[in-house]
Amino acid sequence: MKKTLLGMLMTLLLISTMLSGCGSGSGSDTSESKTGENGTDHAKALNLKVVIPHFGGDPTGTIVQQEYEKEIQNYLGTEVKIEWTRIPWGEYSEKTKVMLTSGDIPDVMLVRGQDNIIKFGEQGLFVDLSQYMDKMPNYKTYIDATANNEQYLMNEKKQLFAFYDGSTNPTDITPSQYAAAYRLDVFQKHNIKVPTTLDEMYDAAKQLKTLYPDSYPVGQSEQYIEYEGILNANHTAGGIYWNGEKYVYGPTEEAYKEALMFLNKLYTEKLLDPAFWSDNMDEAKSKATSGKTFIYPLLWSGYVADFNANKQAGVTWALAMGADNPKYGKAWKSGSEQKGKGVGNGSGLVISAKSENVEQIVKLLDYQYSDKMVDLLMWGIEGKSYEVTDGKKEFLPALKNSDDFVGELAKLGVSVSMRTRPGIVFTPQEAIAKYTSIPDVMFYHDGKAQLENYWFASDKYGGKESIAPMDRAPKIMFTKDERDLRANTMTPIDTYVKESAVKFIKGEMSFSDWDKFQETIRKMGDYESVLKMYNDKVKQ
Amino acid sequence: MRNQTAAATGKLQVKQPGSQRHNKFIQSFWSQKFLYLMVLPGFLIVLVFAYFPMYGVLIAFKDYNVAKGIWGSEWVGFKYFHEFINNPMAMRTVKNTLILGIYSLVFGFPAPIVLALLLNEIRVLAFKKFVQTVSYFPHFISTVIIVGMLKEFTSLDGMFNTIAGWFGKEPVNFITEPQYFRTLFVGSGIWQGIGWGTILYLAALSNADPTLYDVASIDGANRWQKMKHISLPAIMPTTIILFILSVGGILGTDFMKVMLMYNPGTYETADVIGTYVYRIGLEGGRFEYSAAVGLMLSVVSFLFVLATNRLSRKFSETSLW
Repeated sequence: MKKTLLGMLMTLLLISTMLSGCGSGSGSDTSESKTGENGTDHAKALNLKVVIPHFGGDPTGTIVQQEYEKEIQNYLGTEVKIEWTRIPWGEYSEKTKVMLTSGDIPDVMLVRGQDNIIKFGEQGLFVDLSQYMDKMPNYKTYIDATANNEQYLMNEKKQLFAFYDGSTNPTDITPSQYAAAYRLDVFQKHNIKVPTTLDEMYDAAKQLKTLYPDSYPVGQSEQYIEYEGILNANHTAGGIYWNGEKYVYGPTEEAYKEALMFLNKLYTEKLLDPAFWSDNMDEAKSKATSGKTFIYPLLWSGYVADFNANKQAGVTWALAMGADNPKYGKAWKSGSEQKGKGVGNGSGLVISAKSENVEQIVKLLDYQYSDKMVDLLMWGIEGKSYEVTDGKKEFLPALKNSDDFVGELAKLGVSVSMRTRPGIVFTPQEAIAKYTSIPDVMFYHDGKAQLENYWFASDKYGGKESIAPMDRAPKIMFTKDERDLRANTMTPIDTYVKESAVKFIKGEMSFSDWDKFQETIRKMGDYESVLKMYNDKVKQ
Repeated sequence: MRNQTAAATGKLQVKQPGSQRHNKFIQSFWSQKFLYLMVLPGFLIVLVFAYFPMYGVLIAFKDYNVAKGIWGSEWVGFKYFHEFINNPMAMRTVKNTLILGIYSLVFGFPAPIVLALLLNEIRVLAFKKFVQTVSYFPHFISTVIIVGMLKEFTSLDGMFNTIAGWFGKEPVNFITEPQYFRTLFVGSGIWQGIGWGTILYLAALSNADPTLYDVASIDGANRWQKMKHISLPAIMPTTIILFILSVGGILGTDFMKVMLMYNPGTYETADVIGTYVYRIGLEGGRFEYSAAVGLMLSVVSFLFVLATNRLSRKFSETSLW
């Protein structure tokens, strides 16, 4: 009897531990009810569960985060208790997608991708913010300033589901964070002209190859950049893009063919790195600092500081505006930013339809778009992180001159550090704070190189002609069926085009077969109907 | 308590004297009740985590809508299956997947067996341990690092090209050449898994009766004959079971690794079903499409396992069921 009782108890224990293991939800339930009880002490307190990304630095306890919390409580006039869940950026999409699919979401969360925002919004998961327009005066200025906002941000029923990723640029500069890069010390040592055109780039590469036969002068830093440096010079692109008048498919254009011919010339003369299609920053960095690569047609500007920081290598890289193709005029710059206010529909904060106190939450999120809060989050606190001279904000010289400028900003919780971001992110980015929060780098223009801020330099030297039409494309939105059609049609075509481009460059496909190539593209799928879909949307 | 149960079963016996079988079952069930109770948690786990989610596969046939749920979403039948099969790249991705899977099986499967047999022949224990440890290592390195190392080895001034250079070969950037992709993929796979794979075989080898080896020695068998007639038969059952299981994996290429290794230069041989579906789904969470393709692959893999199992049962004494 005793034995069986013991056995019974043991098995019961086993089962109960198993079951408690399964039901992880039950544990959080109890803690929830506890906070609820606490909440009743302060009848008006706003309790919020928030899921947002984490960018490597935790803002909890930083002076800016503390100030932020104080500010929102003052503004709302109640106590605000936020339960923060921060998911690392790298796994954010994946983790939140699961939450969205299961329909179990917190009061406020950042959702990535307009497709998801619309899809799950239409399914009733999120609050429709268009009902609260009069409750969000600050956010409304951002919406109003966004071109074509109804198509770009809302669905056909004019519903608005998110506080989209905002940006504000109080000046009228339109800079880019991509540029061409050259090994300036080598160019100067051998008296080689820093290229301003594609032909000069070819000449420079040729001279460098004779001087350094082991090297492949023209290299690649990241696979995603593909041939953009050359395509920008030829005023075309590798996919569907807005050319200023209508949407077109780049690989069907003569300019695209010419770009491939140029790359083919580089490749056959061994001026183009054969690892152009496989290198990423890890490989590129060692080549850039060991005299294997001398030219990047296009590079994320920030990398140059990394290359030059390697004291052992002793190299000097300088940025420059992308090389032009005189046939097409000034080369486009990649992703030039807009002036004024606006939002991007790449991600946005949504409010769960199941939340209580929706109005209070709307008010809180709206407040993040006020100039006062944007300044607090992006610049920090006057005297502690920035100063104002002649009406212009500047980060404190003590911070700017420290060894780790961005690290110091992160410690204070200044959002522009990009690492430690206070508030319910994304909060609007203020452009000038963003542009000035980086150390100066070498920038070459018109015969001389000097230390400059690469953002401002790309605006100053690029001018208005360098703004790519696709960066000012009319904003359009597709339904789920339209997106499916695009994916089903364009994926095989893009696959074929990308692998054929490699073959053209390597000389495995001949340019005399260009027509055959175009024909195969058409056979792969009806891209023209996809283009028509784009252009019809614009007409609407 | 025991008396009570006896009374209860007794009552049952009286009530249903006819259903002898039923009775027996209850009796045996009751007498082993604690064993069943102990099985219960495991059973529940399989039920909850392996069988209940299978219901989700329904979305492969539906226009999935979160608000309506899996059951309530609109039925679209085989739409996503058609979409996949009718795309112009379908044949190539299927072919690439199959070839990669078959190569991995043909070259990757025997490798640990050969290594295990060789290790078994080593008399110097310290050396054997050393080889084992060294060959286990790659298993513990993440695929991302493995591919990073592979890129390093195959780069223009990497190890492979240096060696090829001794024989006067022109350097090749292997990772962007489609004709080398399969070799690199399968080769690095063997490098990653060979040591780890030997563990099971070495365990099986240790089961071989040592007296058999002694007897064979007395009969004048050499080492090769001993390996062929004693060691190999000893690991045969393990080998067959593992083979049947790995046939199921032919279509399940390591999608992550292909993603890391491939580039537009090698699409031709490297673009497998998984990577293609990933690219087509980039446009925004097409769960239905991925589920449909995943289901298709699972069904085919299951058929492979069934067929292999049947063949094995026919020609040998070992099979899964």
